[in-house]
Amino acid sequence: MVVAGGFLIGAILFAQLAQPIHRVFDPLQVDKFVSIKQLFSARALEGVPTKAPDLTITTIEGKQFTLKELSGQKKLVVVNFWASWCRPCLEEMPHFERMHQAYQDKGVAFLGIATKDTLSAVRKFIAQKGITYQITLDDQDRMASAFGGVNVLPTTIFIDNQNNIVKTHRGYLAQQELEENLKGFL
Amino acid sequence: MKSTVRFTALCGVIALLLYLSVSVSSGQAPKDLNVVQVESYASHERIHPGESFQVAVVANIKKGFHINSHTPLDELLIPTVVKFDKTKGIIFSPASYPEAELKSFSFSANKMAVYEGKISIFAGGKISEDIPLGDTKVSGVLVYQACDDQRCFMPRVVRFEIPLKVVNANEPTKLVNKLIFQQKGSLAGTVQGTREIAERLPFTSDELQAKQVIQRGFIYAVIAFFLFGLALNLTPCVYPVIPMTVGFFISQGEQKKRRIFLLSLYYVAGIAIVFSVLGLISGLAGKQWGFLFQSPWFVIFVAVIILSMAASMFGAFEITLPSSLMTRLGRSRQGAIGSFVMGLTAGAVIAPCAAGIIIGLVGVVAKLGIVAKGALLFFVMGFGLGLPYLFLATFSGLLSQLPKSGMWMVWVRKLFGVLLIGVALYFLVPHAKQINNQEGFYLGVLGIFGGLLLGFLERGEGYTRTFKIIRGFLGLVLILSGAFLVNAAIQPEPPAIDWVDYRDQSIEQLQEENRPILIDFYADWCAVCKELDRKTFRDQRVVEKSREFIMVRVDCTSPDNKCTSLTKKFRVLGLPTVVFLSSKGRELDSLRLVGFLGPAKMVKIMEEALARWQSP
Repeated sequence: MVVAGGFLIGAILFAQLAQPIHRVFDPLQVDKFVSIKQLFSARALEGVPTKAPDLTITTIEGKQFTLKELSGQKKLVVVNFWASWCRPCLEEMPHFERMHQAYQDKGVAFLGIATKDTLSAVRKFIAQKGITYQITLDDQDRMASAFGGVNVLPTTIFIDNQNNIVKTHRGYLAQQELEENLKGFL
Repeated sequence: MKSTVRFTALCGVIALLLYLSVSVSSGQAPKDLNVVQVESYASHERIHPGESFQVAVVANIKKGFHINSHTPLDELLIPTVVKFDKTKGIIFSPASYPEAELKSFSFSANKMAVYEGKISIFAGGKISEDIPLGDTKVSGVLVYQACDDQRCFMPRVVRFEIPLKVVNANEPTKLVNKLIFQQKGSLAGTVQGTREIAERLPFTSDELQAKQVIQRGFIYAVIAFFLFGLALNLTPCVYPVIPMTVGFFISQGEQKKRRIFLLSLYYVAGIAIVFSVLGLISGLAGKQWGFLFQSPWFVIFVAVIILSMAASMFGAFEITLPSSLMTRLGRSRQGAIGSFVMGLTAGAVIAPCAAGIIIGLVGVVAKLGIVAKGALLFFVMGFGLGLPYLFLATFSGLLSQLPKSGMWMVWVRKLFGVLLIGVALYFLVPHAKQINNQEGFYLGVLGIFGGLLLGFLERGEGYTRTFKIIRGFLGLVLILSGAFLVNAAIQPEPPAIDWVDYRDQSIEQLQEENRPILIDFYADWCAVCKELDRKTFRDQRVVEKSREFIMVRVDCTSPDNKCTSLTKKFRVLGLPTVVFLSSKGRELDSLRLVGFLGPAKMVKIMEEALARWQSP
């Protein structure tokens, strides 16, 4: 018991010395305490490459294929969850279009999945911004939940030739960062 | 042996939890979580058929996030909408929404119409004449879609439900939430004034978070409070208690292992009880803890207890109860009561410092009116706080019975005697206002005193020559460095910020200068206030920014009427609190700061205050 107590006191002292309290633990944000479970799942998601789900996709132009087929043909598939009501998404899509132009011959495919959206709003936006890569509409959140639930838009997922998820990025992606990622994975 | 294994396992789990609680906040996991917290209020609890009432739906939007207004400028964006369910016998008027803020964000060149901070949406309702008497409800949904400047969250539909009882015309009606529905007669709240009303709403956003935890389930709340208590050990508030615990249990002398553990339990129970009682008092009476510890008699009382403990460490006497009491209680209970009283003292030492941190939880318990549960929750928190001392105490108790503990043990006891004098000083020094750097003074006095006592004055038997030389040398070093510290502490240190003394001018007078006002509620006995002062308000960046403000410091070290009226006016429950005033003299909502904040973030908040202070 003495050993155990010593261990506990040691752990606390270590935490004391390691970081000042206010960075360690913001006392007023109690909800952080309760997300231990989320922490585990989030870490599990980010660390280990997992297989991408095999989805059947119908683009808004009527083309049909599965995600597995697509990734099998390409070196890298970039899946981007977006929505016409999400400003940061709309802002980053021209970057995707530019990268699509530059990398489509180098084995990279882009796939935009519009979430909680309407076909008319998606069509309108695609035409307006001149998006030419594949776009599909996620009805009933089928695709988002196949990826384990997408709760932040934009979310960008990089899938390699073996259908492994190699990276998940949540939030706005600047063009430079996107290109660095592409180069890194090719 | 078995119990040892079990204990080790338990401690392992606790240490793991502690580690997790540390890493959770530093982890980069994206948090969807509730960036908007929704509250709903009705103006009536009991109402007659044919009468009108009002409904308010309040959204607390987390700092850094925004939701689209009811009328976003772009048709693609999802507007914030309140929709009422069709309820038989109730007619609703259209909701009135607050005015949107026009803001541009890093991701869009165009301005967007958004809501930030706390907003209230009002609607009126009318009960029909032919509605059946009895319970009914007002229910509906709030639809919103939140973003920050990097990402967006999915649109959300949050349900709200407000119970309403229709009573016979002979029975009285009951109006509630009057603060929210101040405009009498108007059916729906008008657009002007909603912001002002939102400021007066009963829950702050921190409290709402805590409230969510409590309402998620009692077991859940117990665990959360326990972890919270445990995590309080990461604050500097507990430093003085460490030598107290070690000192007291070393002085307990030889006991059986099980008994030492039992005594430690009493000690921890003492700490826990202080917290549950204080939590209750402040929860019920709405008083701030720190002030409870401001009575000079209380300070002297605690200091005397601790000093007498120190004296006993130097062998002046053994801590025992009067013999008359002892015979009545029986020998075996005496240690237990002693431990319990020491636990109470330890709790009292931690409490004023921890008050600023816990205050959010206190407020929630008070406002939810869960007295019994609240007491239990605070007890659990106190127990979490005390848990490490269970081990520290047991460990120290066992130390004193190691074989050959003779000479060095005597010296260790005396060392802790000196440290205890330090704890007493910790309590007394904040009351000496003329000392500029109280911490330096405190450490210096402790150094001089300890050096004299341990290095020279103390006479023990069986010390070797070498030992005496070494301790003499160390004592000298201590005395010299102590003298240096005291000297430095007495030298006046120019304050980095030209604080306006709140006693000199009223806030209204200062208003006439037409500059934004920052008010810092401060007290010497509040460790976090001092940290805020030392690390943030003396930082060059903050000092420079502060020139654009009228910086008012309300020093509540020994609260006078003016300080009390100001803390009441601004509903200050915990120290330190920093509030910003708009040009109209109203507090800028969602800029209030409770607790510590680093200089970089402080500058940001100050900038935001500058940008917003002209707003109505």
